[in-house]
Amino acid sequence: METLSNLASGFQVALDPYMLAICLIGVTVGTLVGVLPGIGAMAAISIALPITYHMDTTAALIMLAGIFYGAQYGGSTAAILLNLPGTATNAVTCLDGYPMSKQGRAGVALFMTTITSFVGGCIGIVLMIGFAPALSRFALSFSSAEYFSIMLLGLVAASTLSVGSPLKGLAMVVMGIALGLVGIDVTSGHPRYTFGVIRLMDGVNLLALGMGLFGVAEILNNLGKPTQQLKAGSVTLRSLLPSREDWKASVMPTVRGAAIGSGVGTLPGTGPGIAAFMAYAVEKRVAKDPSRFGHGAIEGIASPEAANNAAVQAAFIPTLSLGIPGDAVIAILMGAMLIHGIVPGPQFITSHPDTFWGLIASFWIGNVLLLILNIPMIGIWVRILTIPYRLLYPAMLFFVCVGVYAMRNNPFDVYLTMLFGGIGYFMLRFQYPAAPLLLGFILGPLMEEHLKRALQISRGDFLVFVDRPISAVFLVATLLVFAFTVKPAVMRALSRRSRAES
Amino acid sequence: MRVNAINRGECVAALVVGAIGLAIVWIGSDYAVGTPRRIGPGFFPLAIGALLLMLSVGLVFEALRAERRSIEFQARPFLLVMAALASFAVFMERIGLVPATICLVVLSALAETPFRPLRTLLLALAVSAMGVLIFVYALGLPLKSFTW
Repeated sequence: METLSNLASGFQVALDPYMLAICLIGVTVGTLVGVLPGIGAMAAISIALPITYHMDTTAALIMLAGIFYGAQYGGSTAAILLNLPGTATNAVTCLDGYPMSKQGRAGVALFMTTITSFVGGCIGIVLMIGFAPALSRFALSFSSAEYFSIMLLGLVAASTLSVGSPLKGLAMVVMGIALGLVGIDVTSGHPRYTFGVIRLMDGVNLLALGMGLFGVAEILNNLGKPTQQLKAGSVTLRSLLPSREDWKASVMPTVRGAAIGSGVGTLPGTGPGIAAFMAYAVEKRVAKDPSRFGHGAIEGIASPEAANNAAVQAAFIPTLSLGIPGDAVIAILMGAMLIHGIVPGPQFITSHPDTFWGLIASFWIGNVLLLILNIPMIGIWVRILTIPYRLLYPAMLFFVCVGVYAMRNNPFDVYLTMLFGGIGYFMLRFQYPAAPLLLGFILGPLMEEHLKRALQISRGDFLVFVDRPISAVFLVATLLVFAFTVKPAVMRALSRRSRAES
Repeated sequence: MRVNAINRGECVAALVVGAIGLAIVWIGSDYAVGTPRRIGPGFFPLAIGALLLMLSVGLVFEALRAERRSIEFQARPFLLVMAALASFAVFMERIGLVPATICLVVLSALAETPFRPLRTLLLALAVSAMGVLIFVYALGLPLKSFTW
């Protein structure tokens, strides 16, 4: 009952006309950047961040979160129509979405992904309502040792449970932690790795790092690629309606996808991208006829889209209740909360109930708005896909520059963005993932802080991390994740070598 | 395994990671490590640097076994986008938002071929107008449109 009354007060916050407008702007911008290939939620949130400096905290979070989950809806559009994922998390949707569109079933695919996105999102929100407050009550008993261990688990999971090489992921997490070292050490007041640059005393600017690695690098990578042009008006409202068989075939995959997405999203460090891949893999395994996948199987779009939306909502659970971002995009959101003077963690829900429940209520409202934006108005988004990239990227670079510059009104951060953009481009080219780097950058300073405190309390005894049972469980889980991801990669490398030698 | 099948680019990337790890350890060795009970500012950097070095060894091994892919690099768009960002940083403070924006848009538009001067100019004007409307008027950020 308490939950219901909390939720009701949350709706009171979120149904305020100003908040409604903010939510609508957020999800519309989210859908827009989701639809456009080459701009992800990350770049959009980084760009919108300076706009939210002057807003009230709740409004700022509602808008930024709206961009995040809105992008998941929009991202499937380009995947289905152009075979280009609108955001990285929709990459799997291309596999069966594009074949469906070649068979003339683009409308059905677009309709179905919106519906499953909605169902996935709703399941994720319900999970969040049930789970986040309980988890934060549980986390109140955490000491620094537990925090250190769970952050370690999050970072190892984020870097190794991905598509590419787990070693590269780990290297990037460590690189991110190293970047987080830059600046004045909080406890000793000693400057580290500042090279005498005064602007670096309070650390590398999060926005410059995020915009460089995700905004500029993405643009550099897209330039010089041949672009596909779409003919406008290829989707009519009538073509959207799925047949009875389509509905039937999609129900169970949607439920399974949402379950996988919720689970993966709740884990600190793993987000929607991995959830979508896992959901697709599971669908392929349980299917009676796996050979249909890749040739326009509706299950192949229903399940991943439900999974990534459930994961997006569930990723807020560790962020808001433990202060550990579930995903690199949420890490930026956490940065926004810190800018507004809110420290996400176990105390957040009890000390800012209006913000927490208002945010949850806005998720429901936002998802309903997205349903409206994406079904009756799909034609508009399809037409937006026809805007040539030539016109888009200079404007995007402009938003990046102004956003970075305006944060502290200095050109140094723009140079920093340029530097990270260049580095990020080469990272993309050599398949070194940028998301773990950002997570490491955000969590690194917190980890150092908790390590120091834990050792202070235990009087220098490193065994404190295994003596405390909850911390030990996290460490065992970390080892398991490590063993499951790194070992197969090593075995694969070794077997390739023996084949090459024979 | 034949020598020419080695993926050079991947090897170089792995070695760069190692070099960064080495630099972290080297610079970090100036900072006080402290005692386990009270770890100093140097403890964490040393651990991180060492970890990065170990990972780079693994990456080198992985790179030696990686299949060779050709990684083509186009200098023109890369350099032009970098120059566009730098020009914004330089001009924003000195001559204001509008000239800096025009410079940014024109330089970055040069990255795509063929370059269309008239369209680019129109785009530059449209983006500057949008920027002034959103950031200077609507949001009231302390940015000057022109400062000469």
